[in-house]
Amino acid sequence: MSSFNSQYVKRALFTASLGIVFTGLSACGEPVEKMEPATVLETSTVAAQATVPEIISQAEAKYAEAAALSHAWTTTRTLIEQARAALEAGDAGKARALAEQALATAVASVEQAGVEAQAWQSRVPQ
Amino acid sequence: MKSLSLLFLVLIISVPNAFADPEADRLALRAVYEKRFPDVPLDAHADGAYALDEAKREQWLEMEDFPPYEFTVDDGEVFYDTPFANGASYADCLGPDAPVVKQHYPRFDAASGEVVTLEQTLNNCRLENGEEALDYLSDELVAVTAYIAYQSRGAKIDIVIPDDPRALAAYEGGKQFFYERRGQLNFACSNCHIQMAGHMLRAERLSASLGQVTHWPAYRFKWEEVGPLHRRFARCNVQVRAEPFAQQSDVYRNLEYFMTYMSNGMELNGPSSRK
Ligand code: HEC
Repeated sequence: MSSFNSQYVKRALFTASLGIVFTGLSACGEPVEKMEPATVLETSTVAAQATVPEIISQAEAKYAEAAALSHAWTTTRTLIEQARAALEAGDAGKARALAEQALATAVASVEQAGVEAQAWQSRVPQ
Repeated sequence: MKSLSLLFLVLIISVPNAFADPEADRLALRAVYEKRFPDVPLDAHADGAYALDEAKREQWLEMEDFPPYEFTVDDGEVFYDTPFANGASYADCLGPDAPVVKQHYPRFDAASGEVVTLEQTLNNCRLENGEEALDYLSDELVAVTAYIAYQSRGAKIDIVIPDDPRALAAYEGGKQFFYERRGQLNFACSNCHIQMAGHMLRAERLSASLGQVTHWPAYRFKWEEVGPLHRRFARCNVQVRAEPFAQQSDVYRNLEYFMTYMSNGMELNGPSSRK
């Protein structure tokens, strides 16, 4: 289960990095800060016995935590909606995978808020 | 000797803290673009991406022959000139230079301790005169700001950050937001509009952040209407998969305060058209 889940998250990450394509990246000779999608946890943080509704509410709580820090991702909200829809449609396996993904992105968004609370200063031109 | 070093110490302590020196920030940002685009005069960035892409600029100038925001400006003038039920009008809330006032917004309001935008000032004016507040994306509010922007063309942005810790905190909040990576794609505004400015992102040429606020509201062909700056902010948040904020939220007002201060001294050239 957890290896299936980690594949899912990796796939989500891969699509994310394709989402934005720059051309002519190397044109300027200045040191360029790396453009990488945020790292999303690759292993499941979800207890094996947690039910799908429980995972969804954990994801929602983390999403709210990220929102309070101005760092919520649309990704999380979409995944939560999709997990709910899958649950209603009776596809428990899909619902579980989506809910775990939602939680993983929510955890990553809170981590991003933590890192960025300091990291932004390194980007201010001096 | 002792008194000299004491004087030195006092001087050091009284120098404003490096994280709260807007003017130093502004000069440093200008220096970045000067170095990056030595052939582009800084004031030219008021045209956004069209300052950095000759082919797109030509298309754009052709479009501006029949400006798509013209009707909105005309509508705005009618709204602006039409008195409220109590006989007062927008002009009564904008001071003696009305309608040439856009260069002073957003401004820090000592009474509320917050940054106040032109849009909010117009809505507050309505409330004070017994009218209902308008939606920030409504035709009327957008049109009145378009008319004021048009009348304010050529005025130089003159944002003041008073010596008030709350004003500096608002500025710092906007600055932090601008330089923080966000969204699943993990981009800061600065990644695209400083670091990558001038490069292509898919089919679009990335504008410099300097001058990004000079020309709002703008007619966007994608929107098929004139829309405010905060709507563009929301779009730039969503494209990196970050949740956007409400129009006129404190987050976006502080961001506007920071960005507009960075463009101090530049001429207003709104409204404008954009892809
Ligand atoms: C992934 C890259 C990217 C990021 C990150 C990004 N933008 Fe943009 N932005 C664009 C693109 C593309 C456009 C359209 C082309 C242009 O005008 O630069 C644009 C346009 C704009 C414009 C309109 C410019 C004009 O001349 O009318 C503003 C204002 C703006 N962005 C502000 C921001 C702010 C503020 C942030 C951070 C909250 C931000 N952007 C983050 C890509 C980005």
